[in-house]
Amino acid sequence: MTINSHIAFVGTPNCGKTTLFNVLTGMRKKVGNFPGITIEPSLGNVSTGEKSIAILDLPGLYSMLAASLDEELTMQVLQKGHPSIAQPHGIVFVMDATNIEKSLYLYSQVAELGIPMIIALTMVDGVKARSGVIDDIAIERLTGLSVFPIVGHKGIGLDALKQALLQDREWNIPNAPPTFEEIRDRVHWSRNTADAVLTIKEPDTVTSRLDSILLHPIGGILSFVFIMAIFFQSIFSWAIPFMDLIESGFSSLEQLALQHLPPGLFSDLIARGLIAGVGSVIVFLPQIIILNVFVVILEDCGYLARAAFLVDRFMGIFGLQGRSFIPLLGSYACAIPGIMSARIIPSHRDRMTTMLIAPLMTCSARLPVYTLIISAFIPPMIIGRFFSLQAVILAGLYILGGLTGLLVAFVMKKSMFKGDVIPFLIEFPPYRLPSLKSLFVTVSDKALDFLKSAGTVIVALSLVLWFLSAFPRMEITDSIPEIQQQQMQLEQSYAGQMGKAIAPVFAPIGFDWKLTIGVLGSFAAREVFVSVMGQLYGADTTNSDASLRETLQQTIPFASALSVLAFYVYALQCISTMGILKRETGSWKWPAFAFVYMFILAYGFAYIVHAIAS
Amino acid sequence: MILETLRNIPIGTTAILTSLEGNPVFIRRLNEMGFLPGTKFRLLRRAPFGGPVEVSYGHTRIAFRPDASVTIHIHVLS
Repeated sequence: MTINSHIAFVGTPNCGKTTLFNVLTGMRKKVGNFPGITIEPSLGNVSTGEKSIAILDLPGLYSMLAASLDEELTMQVLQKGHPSIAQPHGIVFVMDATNIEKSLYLYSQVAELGIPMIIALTMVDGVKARSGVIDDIAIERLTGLSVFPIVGHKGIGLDALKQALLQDREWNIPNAPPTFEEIRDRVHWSRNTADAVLTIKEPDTVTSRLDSILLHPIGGILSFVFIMAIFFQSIFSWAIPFMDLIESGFSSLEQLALQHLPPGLFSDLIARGLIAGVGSVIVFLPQIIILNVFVVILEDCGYLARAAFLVDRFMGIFGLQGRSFIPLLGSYACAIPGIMSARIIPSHRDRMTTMLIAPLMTCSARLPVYTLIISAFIPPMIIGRFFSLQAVILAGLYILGGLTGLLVAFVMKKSMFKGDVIPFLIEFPPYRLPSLKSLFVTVSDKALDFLKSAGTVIVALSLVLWFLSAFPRMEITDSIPEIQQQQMQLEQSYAGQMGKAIAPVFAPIGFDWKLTIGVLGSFAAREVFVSVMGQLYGADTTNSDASLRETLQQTIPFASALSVLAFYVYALQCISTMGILKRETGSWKWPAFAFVYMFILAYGFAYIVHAIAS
Repeated sequence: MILETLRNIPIGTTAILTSLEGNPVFIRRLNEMGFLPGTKFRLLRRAPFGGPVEVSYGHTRIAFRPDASVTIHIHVLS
């Protein structure tokens, strides 16, 4: 899609631009295709009756001298247009009244473009709360532009701004700003101008009091751990009832389809292919919604910048910056919402590294595999009087995933993503109440975007997997019990044949052809391993894994079982994650890369474990 | 006159930035945010375990990682 006629919202980071955009336009859509850039401009519409106008929300920036790929994109669009986004015919400059100096600095550069503009003056309430005055008339005189003060929470000034948006052909071209030789001159100009238009009598006591707790060397760490614990709990546990509901809903739908459609290929396609495929997408929604609500609230209220400050040192050890922490923690529940939330990382290189290591965090889908194998093969003995060996091994697998991820990040930052343009540098915005409407718009936008773009990929890949396990069809004799029918069908399907054909590849790590098919089948989702094992060993796993545990104990060698555990710590056994990586990086190259490097890690580690254990 | 770096002054110190050397893009961005030689600022806090520092000047509060790529010289006032 190419955008030809539009106006653009431009402003510094945290100036309230995106909130204003969300409140004005409601739903929005993604525009353009920017290879390698993951923060995308979004497009919305403002309309009254007959006229409708397209509005582009560009990433915030401090200056027209870019220091990152995202800033470069914004500049390119503003200066001459991008191949998929034309230069805007008008600019709404969003000026933060509480941070007027930096807004004026950027303004003096944007004004040089000579594009017609109006100014939306946000955070006016923030100035009043500190007994201050912002002189919007003086800004009008200085710039020659119309200025629209906005009081965000009360919605005052929004109507006037909306009216002005619709008369976009009548905007003025800004008065030519002075010419500056050096950055210093521009800074001084914006500082002096700021002093002339803004008086603030009182310091922001709310912010400084909150910061004396939230950034305190001890209190800050404690509150950080507390907030992250709630965050983790919410995506790990609170999402489970909803996910269970969705899963049981789809499995009853599957049963319903199997019962009511004439038995055969068609009902199998609808039930086990389509319904199961769609269900495997929808099941991620609770986690995506909860994680995004958290991230948007933390970001909009100003805490995310503080959290990044607190953990920057730790993440710095591995070459990452503070903000990578949130996506990685989220990935412990599920890599999909985790990877989506990596958009909060401003540096392109850090964002790529974070997304590529996110699947190494031990997601909840690995848990069924871990518990099955551990409970079948690790004796329930107590070590050191207190710790159960099973629990210690489980915890060890969790830690191993996270630590390896950070080490891989370190290697990536030293090799493929080296040379960050700037180290951690952040401005602390004042604490603010998030706008509920903006929260709603952002979260529903993310959820819909996931369903539309990642969902279609995931459903398509699920159908391919269904095809591979359902074909070629086998003659069904009714006298054989159903569980054995499934076993035989799977064994001689394409997936089964592939499993047998590539079994020699997995032989060095101790996998027989059955385990190989289990590994192949779990590409749909890791936990599918359990049901595939159930089918292959003819065990009914619908109610309990007990019979499967016993069968596995008797048939799989101990060393192979440990090797399976080792393999699942690292292998990227999840087409949904690959789908979302493709969506977020804009290319299949990165999911392919992640798959290969994780496979090498998995195979290597499983080989070592198998060799030691046998 | 005492020339110091940000690393070893106590929290709460007021100082004047005298020079920034090293990583040109980082220095440019610090300058653009108003952190220029001659700026009087206060060291507000350090993140735990030798992490980023937070400084305030005018109405601005910024935090950054004083990593090895820049050398920051300051003149301590109090």
